[in-house]
Amino acid sequence: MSAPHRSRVLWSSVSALLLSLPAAAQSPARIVSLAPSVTEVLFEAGAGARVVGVTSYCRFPPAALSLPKIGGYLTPNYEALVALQPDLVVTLAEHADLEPRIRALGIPILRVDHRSLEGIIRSVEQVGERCGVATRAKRAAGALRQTLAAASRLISPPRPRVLICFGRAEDFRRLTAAAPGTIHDDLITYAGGVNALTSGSVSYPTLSAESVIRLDPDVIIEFSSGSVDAAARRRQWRRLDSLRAVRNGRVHVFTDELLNVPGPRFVRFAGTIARAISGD
Amino acid sequence: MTDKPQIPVLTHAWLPIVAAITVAGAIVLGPRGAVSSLVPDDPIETRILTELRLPRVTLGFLAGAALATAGMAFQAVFRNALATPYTLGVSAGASLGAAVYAHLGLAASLAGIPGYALAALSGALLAIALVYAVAQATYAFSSSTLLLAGVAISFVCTSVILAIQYIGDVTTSFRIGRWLLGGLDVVGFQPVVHVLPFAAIGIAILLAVSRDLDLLAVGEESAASRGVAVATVKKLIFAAASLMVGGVVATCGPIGFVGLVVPHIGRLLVGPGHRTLGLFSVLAGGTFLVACDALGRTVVAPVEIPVGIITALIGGPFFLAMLVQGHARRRLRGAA
Repeated sequence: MSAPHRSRVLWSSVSALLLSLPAAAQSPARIVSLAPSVTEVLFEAGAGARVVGVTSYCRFPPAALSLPKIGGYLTPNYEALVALQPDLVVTLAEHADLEPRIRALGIPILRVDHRSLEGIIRSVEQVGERCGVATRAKRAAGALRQTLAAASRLISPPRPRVLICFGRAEDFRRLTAAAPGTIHDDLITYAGGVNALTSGSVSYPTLSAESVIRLDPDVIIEFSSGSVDAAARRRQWRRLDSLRAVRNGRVHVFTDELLNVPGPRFVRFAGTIARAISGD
Repeated sequence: MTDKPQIPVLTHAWLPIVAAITVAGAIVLGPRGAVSSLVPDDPIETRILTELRLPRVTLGFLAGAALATAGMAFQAVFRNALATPYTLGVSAGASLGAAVYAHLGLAASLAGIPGYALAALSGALLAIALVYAVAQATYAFSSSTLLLAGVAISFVCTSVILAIQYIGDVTTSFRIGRWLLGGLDVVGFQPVVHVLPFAAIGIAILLAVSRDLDLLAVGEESAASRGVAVATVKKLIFAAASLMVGGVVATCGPIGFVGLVVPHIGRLLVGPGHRTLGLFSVLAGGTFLVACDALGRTVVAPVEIPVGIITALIGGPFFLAMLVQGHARRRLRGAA
């Protein structure tokens, strides 16, 4: 190891020690995020400067791009994790099976829940409390709640029946819809609609074109990620012109990358959905 | 080459040498460049070496050795080149156990053994018991019944897993998907300790019955005429190999291809005799998996490629090349 590197290691361990002295274990100084949505929440809460490692999928905020990577979101590299010497790893529910290994390495864990919009907002507060930036985090969470409240006020009753779907082929095969109980159902509800699907026994059921026609929702929201042409996707829906949403021009296609990450930007997207549903 | 006098021990002396070099290489090879972990005065590197890399390489070797030996035994008993350690439904049963565990949203552990590993082991044991019961109910524990029962139970388990993934939420699907990828990325030696008894006992039994395997590979009737208690030996091999694979899969997930291809490479290199082939499978299976895992964790570091992807990606073309070469050599020899 080169001399400057060694002195840097020494300096960082000294500074880590100094930082850890006043607040003891309460305020972590070296945080590693195990998911893109967690990274966004850490920055939203005001703890972004203390994030020292993220997954290779973390692309937002731009500051995350230059941070050291600890591997994939379900396949973290424990060697890279140890090398970063984190004093906090923030995880999601899907990391349940990985957590014992992180704990075995002696690294504290904060698990947050990003399976609902309220869960995302609460995680901003949780991260804030754990990292000693509670005031700023509370303000950020409050702003997110206001965004949701404003979105809900956009639509006057009766609330339109909304089908939210993704991942369909051009010929409408393998169309996946979001059922009640999912985070996408949350998005519809806060945006002033009701889910056209009523049963939540399957979270993300595959629907045939026939069942979409039978459902006949008032509004169709399609999420389509990757480099797809939103206008072209929207035109494809004309093939199902017996649908009232198609006839009334109430099919909306969104291709934003942020829709894959259940973080603060996803919460704010409720406003965009509300405007689309209300026909603004 | 055939003219030289041969000492059996020395003929294959290259194998342990290659194995030792590969394993040593895997231990020192880190994502931050080779030999980074040999810097003695860096506490982080020391920690990575002792808590992560050594257990991982040890587990990889144990798992690879166990899977290859089990594959060899099944291929001999069933006289079927396509038999793998998973043919009898052990892996599908284990996967179903892990899937049910994820679906129930559990996250627990018992005596230091993670819950998903216990669930997977229960699933594997259940599948083994089912296959055994079906085979036992038919005439003389017939091999074809064993095979068919194993394949059928695999299919049933796999479709239940698909159903669970379909009805489950995203979190469940991710957890199941991650488990199905398999992996050797463990922390500490405890998982190694969990796998060790399964692997050691299983390998010891399978190596001890190498003569019976030789005879069974020729045919059950001729084996019986040479004094092999066919039904008893088959039950012993079935139990030893299945339990061993169950123990490995519970901790490492279903890592494919090692158990199928390593015994075949061994037959091409050291011949079909199970005494040598068994030792080859232990050494080469372990080495192959360790090498694949070392590649998987370094080529695009810090992103890791799950070892199951590497085993087939590297092993497949290598095996095909060996098949073609072996065929060409045999043709040359035939012409001479």
